[in-house]
Amino acid sequence: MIAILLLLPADTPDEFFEKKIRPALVANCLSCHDTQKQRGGLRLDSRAAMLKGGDTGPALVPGDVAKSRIITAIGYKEIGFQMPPRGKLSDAVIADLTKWVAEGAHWPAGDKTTAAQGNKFDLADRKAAHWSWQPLRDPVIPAPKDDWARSASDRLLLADLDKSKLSPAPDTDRSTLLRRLSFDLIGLPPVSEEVEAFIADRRPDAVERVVDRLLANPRFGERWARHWLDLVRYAETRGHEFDFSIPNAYRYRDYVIRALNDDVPYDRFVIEHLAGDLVSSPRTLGGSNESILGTGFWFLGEEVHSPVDIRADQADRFDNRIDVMSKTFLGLTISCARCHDHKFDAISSRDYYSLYSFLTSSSYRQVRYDGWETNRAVAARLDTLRAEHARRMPAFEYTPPVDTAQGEVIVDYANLKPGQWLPDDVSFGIRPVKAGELRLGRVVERTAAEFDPFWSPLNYAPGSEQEPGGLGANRSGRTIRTPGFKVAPGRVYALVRGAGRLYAGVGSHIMLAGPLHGRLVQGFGASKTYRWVAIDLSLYVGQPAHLELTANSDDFAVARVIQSTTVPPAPTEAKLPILDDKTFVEWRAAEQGLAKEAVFSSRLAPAMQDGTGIDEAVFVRGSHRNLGTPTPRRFLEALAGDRPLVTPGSGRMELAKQMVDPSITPLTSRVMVNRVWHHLFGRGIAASVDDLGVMGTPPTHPELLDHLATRFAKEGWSVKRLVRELVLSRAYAMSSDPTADDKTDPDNRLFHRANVRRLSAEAVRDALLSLSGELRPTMFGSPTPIYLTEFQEGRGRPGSGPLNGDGRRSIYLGVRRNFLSSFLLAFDAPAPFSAVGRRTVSNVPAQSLILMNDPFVQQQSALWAKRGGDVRRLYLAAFGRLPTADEMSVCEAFLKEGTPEELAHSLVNVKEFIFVR
Amino acid sequence: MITRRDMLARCANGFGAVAFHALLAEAAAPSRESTGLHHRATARSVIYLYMDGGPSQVDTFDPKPLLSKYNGEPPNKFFKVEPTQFDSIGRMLGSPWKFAQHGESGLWVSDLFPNIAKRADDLAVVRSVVSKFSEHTSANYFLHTGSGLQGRPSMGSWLSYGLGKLNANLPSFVVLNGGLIPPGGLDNFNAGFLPAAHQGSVFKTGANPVANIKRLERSEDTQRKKLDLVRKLDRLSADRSGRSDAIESAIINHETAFRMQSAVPELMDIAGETTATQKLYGLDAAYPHTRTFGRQCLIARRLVERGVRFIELTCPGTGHDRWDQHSNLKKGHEDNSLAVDQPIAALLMDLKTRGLLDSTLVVWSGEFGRTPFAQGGNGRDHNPFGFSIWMAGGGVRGGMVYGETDEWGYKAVKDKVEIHDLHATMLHCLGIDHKRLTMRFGGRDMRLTDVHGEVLTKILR
Repeated sequence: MIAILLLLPADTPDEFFEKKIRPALVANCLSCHDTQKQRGGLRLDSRAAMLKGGDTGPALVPGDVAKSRIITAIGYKEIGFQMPPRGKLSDAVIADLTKWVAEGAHWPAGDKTTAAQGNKFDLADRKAAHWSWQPLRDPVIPAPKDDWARSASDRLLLADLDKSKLSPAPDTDRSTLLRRLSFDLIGLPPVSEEVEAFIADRRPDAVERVVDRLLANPRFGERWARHWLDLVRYAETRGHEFDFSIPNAYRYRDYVIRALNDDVPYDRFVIEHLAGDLVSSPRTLGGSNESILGTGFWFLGEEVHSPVDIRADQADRFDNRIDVMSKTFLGLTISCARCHDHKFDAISSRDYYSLYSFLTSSSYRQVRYDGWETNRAVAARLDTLRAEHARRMPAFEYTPPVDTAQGEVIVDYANLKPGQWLPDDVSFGIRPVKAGELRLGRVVERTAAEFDPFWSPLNYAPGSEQEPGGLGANRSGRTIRTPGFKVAPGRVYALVRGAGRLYAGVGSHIMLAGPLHGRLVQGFGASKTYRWVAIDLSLYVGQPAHLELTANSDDFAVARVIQSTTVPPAPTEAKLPILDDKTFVEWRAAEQGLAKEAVFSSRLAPAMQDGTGIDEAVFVRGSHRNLGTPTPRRFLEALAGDRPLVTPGSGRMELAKQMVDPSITPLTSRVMVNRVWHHLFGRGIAASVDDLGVMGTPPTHPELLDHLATRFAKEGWSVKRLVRELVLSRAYAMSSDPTADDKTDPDNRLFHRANVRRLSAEAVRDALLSLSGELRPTMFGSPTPIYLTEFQEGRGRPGSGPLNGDGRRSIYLGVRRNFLSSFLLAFDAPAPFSAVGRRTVSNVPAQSLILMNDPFVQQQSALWAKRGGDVRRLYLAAFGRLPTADEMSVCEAFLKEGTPEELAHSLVNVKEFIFVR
Repeated sequence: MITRRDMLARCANGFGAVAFHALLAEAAAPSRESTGLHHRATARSVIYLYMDGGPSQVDTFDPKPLLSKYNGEPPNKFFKVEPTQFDSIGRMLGSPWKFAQHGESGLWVSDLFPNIAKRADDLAVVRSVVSKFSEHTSANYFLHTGSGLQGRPSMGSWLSYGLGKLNANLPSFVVLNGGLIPPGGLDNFNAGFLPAAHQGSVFKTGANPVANIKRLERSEDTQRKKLDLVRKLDRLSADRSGRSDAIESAIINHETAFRMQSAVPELMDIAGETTATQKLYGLDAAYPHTRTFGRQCLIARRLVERGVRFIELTCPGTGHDRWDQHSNLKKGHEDNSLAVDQPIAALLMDLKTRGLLDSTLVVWSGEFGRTPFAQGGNGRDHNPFGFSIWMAGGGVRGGMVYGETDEWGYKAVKDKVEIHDLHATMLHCLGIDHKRLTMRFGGRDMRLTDVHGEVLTKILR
């Protein structure tokens, strides 16, 4: 074979190229890498383009096969970097291409030599071209031409109707208005007595009185919290294969309800979501930290129980978090910039990975949030108290041991840098202990983070749920995390004392349910002296990580954490002075006295914990195996400029402050007022409430939107005030009946009348409970399991709850990702996976089948019938109005043969029951 | 001429998006004849035989004699072993089953499927499918929705959304639940951001396969009277406030629901099928799981006859955690194949006899394959790098093999096929261009195939 080859006349370089190389490129590469398409930012149709390369660097280094990415790719050795994607080239073609590169990559002269153009993404142009990036502009309010308008928003709306020669519809009747107000504000129908009283109330401020009563009703928070939960894809389990719980997720749900009822200013609410763990003075409620609960929203998404590639899995989870965060607060689809610069909006891939870096720099915990300030004060006083007592103790001599271990320091508690003190609670004290310091009955042998036995009694309030996966239980309040680091070859070693558990947060993977990543958690038993414990992270070299160390015994301490390729020498033991226990009597009594003030029991809630700042790089084409430009943490360039936030921690607080500053971010208030408008008028001023970008729907009334947004931000971000103003407007009170103007404005884009709206899934169910009298006013707490039909099957199936859901409002029903309520789903409750600010309103036979045949519906209507009452009262309860004479006679005729139960069941099947006019 | 009420009725019943756009085009240019499709369809329905857990390619349709030759040797002697989910890399494991060539085409099928082997000339086996995920749930979501994340629309939902209904009284996407709901749960069959009308309806075997299909009233007459009352009151209510499209659609819907109450039990009642047919499907088989799956396959054919667009079958629980044989490969795969082999062969034959195979695309696949080396001693771990599926009917060429894995059956090396390609091909057979079937969501025109997908033209007629 070789002999034959040698006998053939050699091709000239031109011939070799034209015979072998060009055909191979044309056949296998150019369909994705030429003038038409540049996958990976790469062109392979000229030598210059190859030299320039693509997202991962030069494709070609003439003469250097090892450095030429094109050869690596066709070699098919690296998973995720194999070309062509459809299948490996034949050995002969690979040999030709390799030979070509090795021999200098000759390209015939005269061929086109232009390198690939840069892409056309221009952030400044994009920003300038689209309305939603522009600063808020409070418009001049047009003068009223008649007395129709009651508010500035009415005058703006009317001006646009005038321009189109449309007139506002007449006011709706009072009973319809009351029903509309009641469902919109509290999500429940008005009860018969309320209807009658309101119809009879002829005072000029009758509507205002109703509105103020509804706004003060705690049901308001329940109704509006449900809107919010749709945005943050609220669920109580992690879905995926076994649908594991998100422990204590409902604490977040309750937080949202309270925040809305208390009318927490919206800017504050946003800050608490982004960085509630970092606010300097948290809102407290009975001593509990309310603000920190907001950060729970980050962790309401899916978690995969045993992914093989945890960095890729992290990329998916963080993508979901960025998606939810950016749609919810900013009305932007930042996630679209995961694999490339946004196709339409002023959002770059660098923006995306800058935000990603905030998440890498933070981690998950179940926080103890009760007794928050008390315990922090106690911990500080404890430190002072000890210093005072120590001063009075007899002197002693002590030389601490010298630690000679070599390696990259992850944390050294004797040499702590700003932002590196990261316990998850006060139980490690307010600082590391110092070698030679006195503690009750002993001298501290090493400078270290020590679990403080003072906090030994800490416990979890009854009913607190614990972590289901390999992370393990009983971590909260007993855990300290290290700064972040990048995993290097070798092992990670921690110098620890006592019994504990070590978890390596690689890829922020927390489920740890499979064997492959079981190595990320490691326990170690009791030991009275310090020793090194090792964890092998060699599978994850190059990835960002941090460690969390949990005290399983009261004498737990960690002095240093390093990573190294050599095993550290065993630590030397120090000779500790023996102290006379009697001298500690007074000290001990003082500590015991202080302990009476501490709050040892606490509830738990999912929350974020700050780490140290870690900056990621762009994942080229969304792949973590392909790192591009570094991306320091900062907000969107289009809003806040390309200025990295330099902070020892994650920098989430700085990010949050920029988001709620209207001079930097006009979107935050626009998005929120648009959402409120959507819920009250049936369509947003910009209909695509979660996307105010180029692909969204432009606002029908941009001036109105800006007017509301400006005032919202200027006047204290009060959601209740905004709602009040809008529902008291003339526009809100219009009738939804067809008008002559429907021909000109068939989609009612200009709001010339009210929209007919179907009740939300929750409102349908809650209204049934309200009719039957089974609705219980109980608020908050652990969810009531949904009633599971025999048709709802699968792994992780929970127990079924009672048919009537214990009479609890739908917001308190369990939301288990893999076992969602089929009743609520049929009426378009969204499956929780991304921000849904606008639910679909579908019309499917399943809805009719439910209203006809579901045992719950029949049960509730039978109970309703049993409460007694004539046709008049049934109509008042179901439709918030009196029956017409015709309706009265039809119903009475039915009752001659039919039963009251049958009548009641029929009435809930009348469409008016599930619609608001 | 389409009346307003027709339009409302069609919308209420999930009238197909593709056809809807065609209809609008038709209204604009009435002379143009339109089928309502992007191109001529070769299939009207899909039956998706979902082999939950991941059958082993090297034990079914992709023979690799080298595995037996090097049985017991460490695999990393021959190739680089990628991380596996259970991280327990065993020795090279030759297939415990014999392979033989079948039919005129000489297609290779192992002893696991003696009956399916007889239909070899109907099958197009694709041996080079790859997935992006090594764990069940992500891989299930990926296979069903084109995304590894929860909450995206299932392929059946996309079809329903694109094509709409042929039968107003049945859902257009039905899942026949054999007993095992795949990891990831019912979300594998959800409509995601598509309207709820397109969600998969999961049918159990039995006379009342879905919730709320059975009236609770003692007699039909009682229910009828209630509905008459509802109809009158709805009309009076409309008289009072004027017409609303939303409310009118809901009224039409209510009537459909009433009819479904009889259509569904009629579908499930197989008493009218001949004894021969019932035997063919294995309804008299000794193995109970063959009977379960046989019934599912028979119902699947009845659904096809009734114009249902997408029918997915999940596996019966044979006590082995699906096809997921991390250990006891032999017993597990044998029990699973015993359950599905005869019914699947019967389905292919029955469809063909009735002239339905040409318009029905049958797909057989797991979410990934299995490793050619052992997990522990006698199992195989998950392998997304190269596995086999097959398709039959509905415009697919029979008796052919497409794509190749390496000599170990570990990784696809020739004509690699992505899940997106499978989706693109399915849509193509039904007359839909996968690039044009879109839904605007979250700022993007979303597709089943995302930004990927190429039609596998070489396996099509």
